[in-house]
Amino acid sequence: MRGPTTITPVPGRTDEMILNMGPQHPATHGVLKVVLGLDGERITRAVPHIGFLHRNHEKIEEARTYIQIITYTDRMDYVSGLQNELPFILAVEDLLGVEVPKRAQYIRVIFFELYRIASHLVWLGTGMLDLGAITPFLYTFRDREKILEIAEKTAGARMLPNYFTFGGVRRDVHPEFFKDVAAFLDFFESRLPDYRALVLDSPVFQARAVGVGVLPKERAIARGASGPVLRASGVAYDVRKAEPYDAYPELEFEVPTRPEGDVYARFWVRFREMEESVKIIRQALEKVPKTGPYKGKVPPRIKPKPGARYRAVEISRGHLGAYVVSDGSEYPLRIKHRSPSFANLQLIPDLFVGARFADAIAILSSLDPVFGEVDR
Amino acid sequence: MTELRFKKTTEFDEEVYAVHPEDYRALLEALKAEGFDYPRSLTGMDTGYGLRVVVHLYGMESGKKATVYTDVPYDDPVVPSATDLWPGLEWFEREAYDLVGIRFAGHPDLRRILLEEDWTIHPLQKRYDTGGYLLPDWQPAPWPETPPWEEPEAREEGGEA
Repeated sequence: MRGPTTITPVPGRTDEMILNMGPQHPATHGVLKVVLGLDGERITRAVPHIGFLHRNHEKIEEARTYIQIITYTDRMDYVSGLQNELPFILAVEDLLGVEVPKRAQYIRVIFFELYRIASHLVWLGTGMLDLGAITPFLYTFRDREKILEIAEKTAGARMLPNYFTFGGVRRDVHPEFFKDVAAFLDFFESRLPDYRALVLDSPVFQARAVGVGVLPKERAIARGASGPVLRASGVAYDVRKAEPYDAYPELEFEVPTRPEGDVYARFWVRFREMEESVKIIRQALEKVPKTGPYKGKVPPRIKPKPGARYRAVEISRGHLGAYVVSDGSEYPLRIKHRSPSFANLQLIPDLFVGARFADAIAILSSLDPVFGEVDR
Repeated sequence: MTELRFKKTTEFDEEVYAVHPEDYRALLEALKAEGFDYPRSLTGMDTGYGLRVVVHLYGMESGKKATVYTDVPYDDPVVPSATDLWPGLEWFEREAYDLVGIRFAGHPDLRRILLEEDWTIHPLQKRYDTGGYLLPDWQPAPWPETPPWEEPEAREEGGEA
């Protein structure tokens, strides 16, 4: 059992109710417990508890060889599985001094953005489910299925493909891959206006989202928020622009931001990101070399030189970092995964206190945490 | 920052500061004043001779990256907290305390975060195996004669002379 909750009733105060939200609350998207103090509908105090899904990845990884660890990284943010492999791989590539061929870089970018769309679709469906709208869920999961099928054809697995590797990707793409992706983009682009009409333009949704859970810019930076949560507070920080990796420097895309910092802004930013991802993939499909190696020259036994390297990528939820410390052996000395939802969830007391209880659900789905990476 | 005991190197595209634990806090304050306003990450780790705190910082305006680390001995693993400089490090410091056992003096709420509150060990220390059991033949390495923040020129210059 989890230790005692950290909210104790104020002596002599009878109007505050203490409520345990989670860890089995359906709107917590996994296993989050928040102990809330409620004064009527208003939240007076909020103490988040995490760790219910903790596996101590980092200790397990110290007892694995580098190539084995890639499988574990997939399992952090399982909704955008493939994206999680990249920061660790980039850090080890830096320590190894491995070059990634152009074709592999573009294949990585295409997969990376496909999984961003897949992840945002899950968020859109389940987020709207939290707010009481069931229709978007059915649409978004149908679309996501198409992405997972494309991934399955090439990588052999759907959610946790274990497809990226040091120096590139594990195997070349399926012969129909580029055709499939182009077909999906055409289909998906035709669907986006509908989703916009169903969600962003819906007055019912706007009534739940506009002005709710406002996060000021300075607080967002100081709290280490990242991803759409940070960008919805008016900070144009995107790792794809700030520390470009793979083929991103050669691709043109916008970083959508919004100054309001409320739930609506966070929904809006993710929506725009899906549109930008479509744009990125289209460019990558044009620019990807049609032939060439899909993997660079990598030593048969991965033994990075002694040293440490921190690399970050922009996954669907924000700044995912990996700090790899090597002592020159086949096993890492330490691997630290900096996960975006972990940092974003620190905002719970900031955003919950003062909000109404029903709005807490909306705020939580706008933060879009995935507990596989929060708890690791 | 001249009186602070630290060694600055450049690794890849980052400035890496190895700093004396007593000057850790002062260096972070100086970096914060320099414009490193975004806390990217904080790592606790076991080096074999002691515990290490690694802070990864980023300047939103400048786009510069900095890594600061310091080592503390096993029997007194205390470093000052930096949560008042970057509130975003609050949970990262709790995690480093929980898994590695570093104590952050001045942290507002230093409880375990990922493990249950009744855990008595810090499992990421090298003295424990993956199952959390004490390794019978594990011995701490001796504290290095020249810690990372001193290592540099002095020895090389001596060698050349």
